[in-house]
Amino acid sequence: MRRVSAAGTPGPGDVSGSGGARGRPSRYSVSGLLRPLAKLPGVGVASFVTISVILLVAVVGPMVTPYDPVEQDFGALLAPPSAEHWLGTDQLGRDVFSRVVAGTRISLLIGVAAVLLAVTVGTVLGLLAGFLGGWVDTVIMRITDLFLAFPALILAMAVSAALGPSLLNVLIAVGAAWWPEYARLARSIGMVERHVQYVDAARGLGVRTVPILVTHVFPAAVPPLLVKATMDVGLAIVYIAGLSFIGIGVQPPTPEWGLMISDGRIYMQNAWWIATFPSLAILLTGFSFNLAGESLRDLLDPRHQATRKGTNAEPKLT
Amino acid sequence: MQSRNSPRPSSTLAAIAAAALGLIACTAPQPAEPQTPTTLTIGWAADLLTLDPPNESGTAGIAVLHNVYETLVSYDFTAGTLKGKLATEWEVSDDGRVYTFQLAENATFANGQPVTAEDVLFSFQRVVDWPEAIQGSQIRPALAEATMTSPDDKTVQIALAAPNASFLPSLAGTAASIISKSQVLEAAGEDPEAQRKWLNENTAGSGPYQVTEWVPNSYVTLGASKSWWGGTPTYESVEIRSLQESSQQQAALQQGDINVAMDLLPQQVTSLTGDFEVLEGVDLSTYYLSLNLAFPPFDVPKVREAIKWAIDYDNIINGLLAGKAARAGGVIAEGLPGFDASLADDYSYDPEKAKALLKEAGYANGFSFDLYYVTGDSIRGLGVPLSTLAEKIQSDLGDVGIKVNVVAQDLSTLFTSYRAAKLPALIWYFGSTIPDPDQIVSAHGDWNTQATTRVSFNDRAITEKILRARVLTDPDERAAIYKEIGERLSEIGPYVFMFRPIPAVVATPDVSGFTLTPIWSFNLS
Repeated sequence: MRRVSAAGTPGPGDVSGSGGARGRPSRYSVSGLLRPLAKLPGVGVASFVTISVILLVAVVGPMVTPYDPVEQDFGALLAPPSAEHWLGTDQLGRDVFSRVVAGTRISLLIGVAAVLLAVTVGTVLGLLAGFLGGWVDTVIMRITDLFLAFPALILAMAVSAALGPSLLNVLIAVGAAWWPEYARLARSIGMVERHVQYVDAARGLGVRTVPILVTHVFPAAVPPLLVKATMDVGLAIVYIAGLSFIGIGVQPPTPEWGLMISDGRIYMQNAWWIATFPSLAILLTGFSFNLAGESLRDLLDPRHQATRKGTNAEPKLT
Repeated sequence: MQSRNSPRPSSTLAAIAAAALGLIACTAPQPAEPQTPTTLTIGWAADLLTLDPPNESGTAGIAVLHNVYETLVSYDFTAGTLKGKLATEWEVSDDGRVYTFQLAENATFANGQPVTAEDVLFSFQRVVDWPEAIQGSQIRPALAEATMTSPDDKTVQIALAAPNASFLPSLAGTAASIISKSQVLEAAGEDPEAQRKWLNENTAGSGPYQVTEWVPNSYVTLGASKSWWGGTPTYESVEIRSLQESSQQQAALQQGDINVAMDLLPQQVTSLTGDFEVLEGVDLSTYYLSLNLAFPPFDVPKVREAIKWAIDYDNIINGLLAGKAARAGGVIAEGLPGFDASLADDYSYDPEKAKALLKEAGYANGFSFDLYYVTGDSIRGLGVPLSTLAEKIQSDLGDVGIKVNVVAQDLSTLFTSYRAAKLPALIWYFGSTIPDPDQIVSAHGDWNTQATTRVSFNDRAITEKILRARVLTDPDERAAIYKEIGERLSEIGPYVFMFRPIPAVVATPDVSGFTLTPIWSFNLS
């Protein structure tokens, strides 16, 4: 029994409307391409299993790698994959396998942290704007618009370049580029929740705004935020790799995937393994998080349930 | 509707397969057919900054200008002597001050006008009147105090204020290029600013080629001067394309897009040997770590010495650079007076000794500093990124307890801070642009130059020796002083000399009339 107040305001379940705020095909074209794939049976489970494995690698991997990821071995420069070095060595004799594994922790850590930062800032500001309305809404949304006016990657590049390249600054840069999308999403939920009966009831009982936001409004925002955040972790990892690739992200000798690709690309014709394996790691991680997000949406969003069961809404893909 | 929105997996697979095939096709070797091309295309990671001779200090620009303009004298690297070019002969007065040049009777500019004494005076006066021109410092100090006259159309007389042994060799540098006065006046008028603007984008020289088109950061095209007084140029046109990465250059070479690849990795050169011709050259530039004494503890001589013992030179040269470099112990390269091969043995890799020295200096627990290098830059002629070298140095110094933070900066930002003496340490190289050691030792030891203030290195003994060597006329005596300077720079200087690259250029077998030179990169005539 929800009343939608403002005409055309997206409802809480309409996750796909959130990022479309930019009106560009950039991010959603990715998940748009993946959506049919996500609906294949077992893909959701497979993506969650893959993410679990990636998480496991991130946690225990660096402890069990055969070599120190930054140790240089001049006896084995540019060595091809072998029993000794499973994925070969790079131009400084460092073990590519150990570096890819060590890079998993770094990429995942910054990816998740950047999205968490964006979600936290975005949700707090968005819910306040939507729930309180009035001048608070106007001020917060105009700031959001300002941020949305720049393409996310350009903004992340500018922030990273201005702060100077470091691990923490990359995290801040990606977080800064992403929070407005969460603010928009949270705002739409705040606007709806502001008029639902249980919130009216709580208000009538004398509960103050902040407790209402925390106990009643925020839970309604969790499912769509979770879906978007899951998909964005994959994209954030790609962004971070991109920033490192162009030299304004994580700095050497940190084993970061983007950096490894950047180092290895000039050796592509003679030592393809240096850049190829970190690229595959990025592909696998980004892909898994995106598919997991799509599957989560189907699980959490009632309007997608029908298609999930594959009745007659969409023909099955073969 | 549905098929448009959801691509079938089969078509996606087909697209991937097609892309993969395309990649393979791109990298498959396709040796060019042997026939004499009329256009020579060169792929190079270096870009031109300007076409105005006294203002161009970049490698690519100097290479182009060297083939577009001519100088009074030139240098024979095999003989180690100066030879005539636009000047067929010259005389030096007994006191070593007055130089009289006779210009070649048949020398003409690309527009057909003869090269006259007036053109020489015009070109030299421009350098004197333009203190901001970077490369002009090669000849400006001597010319500014000299009296230049032209007794007749083909004779130039330059009376220096004091004897200067590096004056004649410095006239072989591109800053001393002879520009056609009449052509510049016709195109740009009398105003020096307008002339600079015009010469920034156009050329008016007497060399075998003239620039016909220049798109900065993209390509530069040279057209042959049909009436070149020195003969007929080998090619109708020469194009130098800006290809920043060695992998791009290899792909372009194999596809037949370029005839010459300038910056291939040693591994790429090895894999291309057989199908292509490999030209090995000599590079006079020295790579080193420059330490700024204004940043403690670099002011402690023992700390500097420790760093010199802590670098794993052998693995840098034989591993990272695949043996395509020579250990360098000083700035003066082989072939120049004062070269001392034994300097290379002064320091070798000895981490224990480095640690002991650090302990003696009071830095048993090490220290940390920021090491700067130019983003995206690679070692001249070898294609190996500076970032790789920086990581190796970081690891070597880390082993003796010195923590190095490597910082990559784009050239202009880095250069601005370097000029303001704000960088603690950087990976740098210095190459001679004239065939004389005065330029290079001055830039590293003469306290009167700006270069030494950037590293806060003020050594009176070295400065005095440099000034003395400059006015000596006896070549052997000069060489002996340069040796002494080299020794002292190696011993106490704020420079950790590492290596000189041995550049290898890969060309299609049909390329002729292209030779590498140690200073100006290449000769097209």
